[in-house]
Amino acid sequence: MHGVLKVKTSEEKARELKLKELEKIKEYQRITTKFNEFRSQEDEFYEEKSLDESKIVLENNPEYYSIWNYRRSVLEYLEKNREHDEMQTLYKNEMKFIEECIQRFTKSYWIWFHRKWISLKLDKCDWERELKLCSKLLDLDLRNFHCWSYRRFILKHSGIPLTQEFDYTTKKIEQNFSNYSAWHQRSSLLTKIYTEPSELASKLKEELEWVRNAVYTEPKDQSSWVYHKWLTGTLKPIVATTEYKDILKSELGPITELMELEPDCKWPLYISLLLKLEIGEYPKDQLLQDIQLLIKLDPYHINYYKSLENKI
Amino acid sequence: MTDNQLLKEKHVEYIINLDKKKEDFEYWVTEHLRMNGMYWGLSALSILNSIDKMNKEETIEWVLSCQQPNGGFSGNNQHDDHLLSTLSAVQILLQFDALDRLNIDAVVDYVVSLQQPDGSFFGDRWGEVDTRFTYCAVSILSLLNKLDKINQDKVVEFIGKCRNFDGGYGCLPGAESHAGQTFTCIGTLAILHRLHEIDIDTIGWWLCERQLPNGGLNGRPEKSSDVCYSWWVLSSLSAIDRLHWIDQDKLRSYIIDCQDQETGGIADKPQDLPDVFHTFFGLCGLSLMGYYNLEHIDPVYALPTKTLRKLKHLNLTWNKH
Ligand SMILES: [Zn+2]
Repeated sequence: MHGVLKVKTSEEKARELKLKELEKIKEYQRITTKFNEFRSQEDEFYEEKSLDESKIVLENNPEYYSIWNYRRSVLEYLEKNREHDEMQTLYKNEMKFIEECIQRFTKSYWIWFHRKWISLKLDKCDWERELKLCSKLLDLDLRNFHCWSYRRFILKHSGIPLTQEFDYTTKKIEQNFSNYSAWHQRSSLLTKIYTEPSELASKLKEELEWVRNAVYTEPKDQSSWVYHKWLTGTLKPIVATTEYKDILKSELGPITELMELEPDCKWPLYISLLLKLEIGEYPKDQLLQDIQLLIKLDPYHINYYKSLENKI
Repeated sequence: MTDNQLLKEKHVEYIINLDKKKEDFEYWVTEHLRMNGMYWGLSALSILNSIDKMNKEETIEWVLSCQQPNGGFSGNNQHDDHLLSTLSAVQILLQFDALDRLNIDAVVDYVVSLQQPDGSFFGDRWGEVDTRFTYCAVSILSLLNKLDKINQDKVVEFIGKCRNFDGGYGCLPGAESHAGQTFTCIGTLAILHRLHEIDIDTIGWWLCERQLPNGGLNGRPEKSSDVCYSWWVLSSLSAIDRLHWIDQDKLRSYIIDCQDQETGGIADKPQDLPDVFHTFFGLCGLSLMGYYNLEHIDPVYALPTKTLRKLKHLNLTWNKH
């Protein structure tokens, strides 16, 4: 159970709630018993009716995974003795049913998997529409990882250009720099779009410019800093050492400026320390001082920062 | 709560009364999860040194009754088999020292049949892939000493594909890092003795950054804290020997604040309703950090260390207890 607040109520109110709860249970039991009776009678000879009868249980409890399995069994059975067009209609109806469920229960692993399974049964899934459904859900909860995962599934099966998704991450990040899921998506797209090391390198350098705006706007938000850390780390093996160090040095300038603007914020200090450690030309005293300051700003992670002393 | 008291007796009472909660709607809609629930409850009692409070014979009988003809275990009677419930069944039987009553070959065949050519695992015959299922498979086979039945290199290769820009791991290749999935991937690599192949400091840093100013841990950046991450994050840190990278006293206070003073049990957040899942993971966190003389829990197998020590074929390189 997540996020269910414990509420204190009067005795009378508690009794009332309890009665309601018992009624809810009774109704749920009635539904499940009715379905199980139906199921035992049909004895694995399925009809369209099997799909109708099982709906109501899932509408009340989408986590009842065995019934999602049941629906797929029914469809597999029907596939053997129904016309192709008839089956396509059933699959389309199933997509509609899932869509209703998914908007009420946005985080059920079982529902999302069922949608993937059905979408691949369609002759022609409207992938653009699927993407739109995801965008709609991500407008309501920008971190829903099931939804992001389904987007990647769509990209894999639809042939929709990855650059379109890349532009979507730009839009989502510009709406909210704390959208870590979008930063993640962006990182995983980049290495897929730019497979040539030289192309990738020049894109990553562009990204360094782009991320600067984010860290300046939200310096306390780790999302863009993690991305920054990844950009420099990914550049390391694909550019020459001298160029790598020059890139890091040119990053250090604006980050140092940001430190002066935000003296209580650990992020620019931490990232600049990592850059200095990589560049490797800084006096030991200065680096130790940085570590001491980090410990002062972020005492919980004292042992992590101390571990950096070994890297000097 | 300022005195940091762990309500041991109340938690024991809370757990043994779980099966009497039939007047809660929640009890009925989570019926399919009973095998996991049983494992969480039983293991919580193990941590509290009270496993004898559970009806051993009745529980074993019920667990065995959930084994399906294909060898897998279902979440409850009249439900379908799944790797998630199969792992819980094995973990329960092991804690009751009853593995000899299990049809081991059938379980092993079931698990092996779910491995795919790319090294990943299906959760059941329907084909959902997730690193959670990889962990279940590898844990089951290693507990039963049958790891040689699968392609371990391919498992490691698949896990490698699920690694992300921040060093963490997700459900699938390309999926965002999540502390839960990071636990399953690190756990898998630990069991296969392949942890030395990963960049420990990068993932260690990402994990320790999960601690928030309130002391609690979150599962992903910019999310709120939740007691279950006391397990997913902490166990991962412990497996890579970086437990000291977070402030343990602050986390202890957070977990203690999530206790239900009246009924016992631990909730996801202070003031929320408790449940068995968070009760178990809260206790796990406290056990891993060594507070309150609790029975030590192994960070990789999520089972009491003393139970695992009886399995001579295991080599718990990460566990000093
Ligand atoms: Zn939780």
